[in-house]
Amino acid sequence: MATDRFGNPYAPNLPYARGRILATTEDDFRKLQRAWALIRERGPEAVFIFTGLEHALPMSGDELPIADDEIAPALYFERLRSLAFEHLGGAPDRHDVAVFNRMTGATLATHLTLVRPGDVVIGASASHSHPSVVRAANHVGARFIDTAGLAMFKQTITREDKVTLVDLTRLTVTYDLMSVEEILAIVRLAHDKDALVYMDDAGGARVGPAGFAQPRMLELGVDVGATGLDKYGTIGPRIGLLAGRADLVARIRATGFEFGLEARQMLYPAVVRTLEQSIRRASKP
Amino acid sequence: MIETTQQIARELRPFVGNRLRETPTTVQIPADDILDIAMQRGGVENPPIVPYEAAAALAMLLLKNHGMLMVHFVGVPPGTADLLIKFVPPETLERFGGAGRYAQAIDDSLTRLGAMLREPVSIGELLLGGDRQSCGKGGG
Repeated sequence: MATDRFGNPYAPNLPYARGRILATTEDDFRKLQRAWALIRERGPEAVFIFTGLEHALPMSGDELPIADDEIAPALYFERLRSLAFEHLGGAPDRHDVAVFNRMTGATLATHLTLVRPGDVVIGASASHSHPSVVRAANHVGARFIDTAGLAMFKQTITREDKVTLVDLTRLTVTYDLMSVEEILAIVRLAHDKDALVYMDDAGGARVGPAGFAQPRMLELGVDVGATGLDKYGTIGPRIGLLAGRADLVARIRATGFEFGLEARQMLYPAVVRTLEQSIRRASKP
Repeated sequence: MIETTQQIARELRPFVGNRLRETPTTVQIPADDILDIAMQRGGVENPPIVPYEAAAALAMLLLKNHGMLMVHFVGVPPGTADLLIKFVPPETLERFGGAGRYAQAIDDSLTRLGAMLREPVSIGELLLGGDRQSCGKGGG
């Protein structure tokens, strides 16, 4: 069992140990309430947002009348789909798009759809998979094995008789980036084993292509993947945009709707806006 | 935004030395090091809290005394315990007072955390306020 430098064992599904003050996620919410109290005391104008994330709502006043769960998708879904293909390197003839409330929603819907209890799921990244990935795999009863780097992944997948899903992370929560060569090798090894590849491309979908000249998510050959529209080069809101093989996306999207993991459709105009500006920014020399 | 993050790294390094971890897009202080630095500054030999709680307390002190809202507060629970500095908007940094002030705020908060380690009850109050019903249940 992994421990921190002080010998405390890591909590289940988390890359750190819990203590006696913040013992559970319930305590984390109480901590958040304490932070909200401090924000109220200071006033919003005296708070400096250094999260590195975009959690605002990029919609104008004249768009509010159409910010309706039935009207907005009718007007904006096709545009959203087209921009998502452009942003993530998809092709309309074989890919599709689904919008989730967060990355975590997209990841959970993917695992609920593609993984059965007892299946083997392997995490692949430069350091470790995000807790939301580990939690999703564990929630559906998978045997989840996390690996760091190509060599460890190769060793692990070779050892297993059957692998259902590979959760591949381009840019980890520790901000270590996986190289294109490693990503392509992992996708190839997974497909050779008849495993599907889900890419957790939360921030990597923009940092990889814009910062390091890497291909867009679906150009890497993954079957399906998702990105967070609150991360780097976007303007929010916090949305999980999933794209990939049309047959898989259709099933995952259905699960999302059935379990209430989908994004509120009234937000589609904001998703279109964030994708438009992100694509515009990426195309600048 | 990566340039502003690197400016902060340059200002922060004199305060925390090689405990600063840099990736091409971020600057980080690992949670283990946050607790370690605070213990040194507070003259505390045995840690009364875990590194995650030290990082949470650091984030709360930054918010309380300097108005800095860090990514620690976004995840429930957070995806990492480490202090992450990333994609800092230049206009927000300028409004705050610049990279030097940012680094000083972290230095100040590490020192305050060190003093609080000598009285661990104060850390519970900082993180959860006066109502701390669940303190003491389980954990590492």
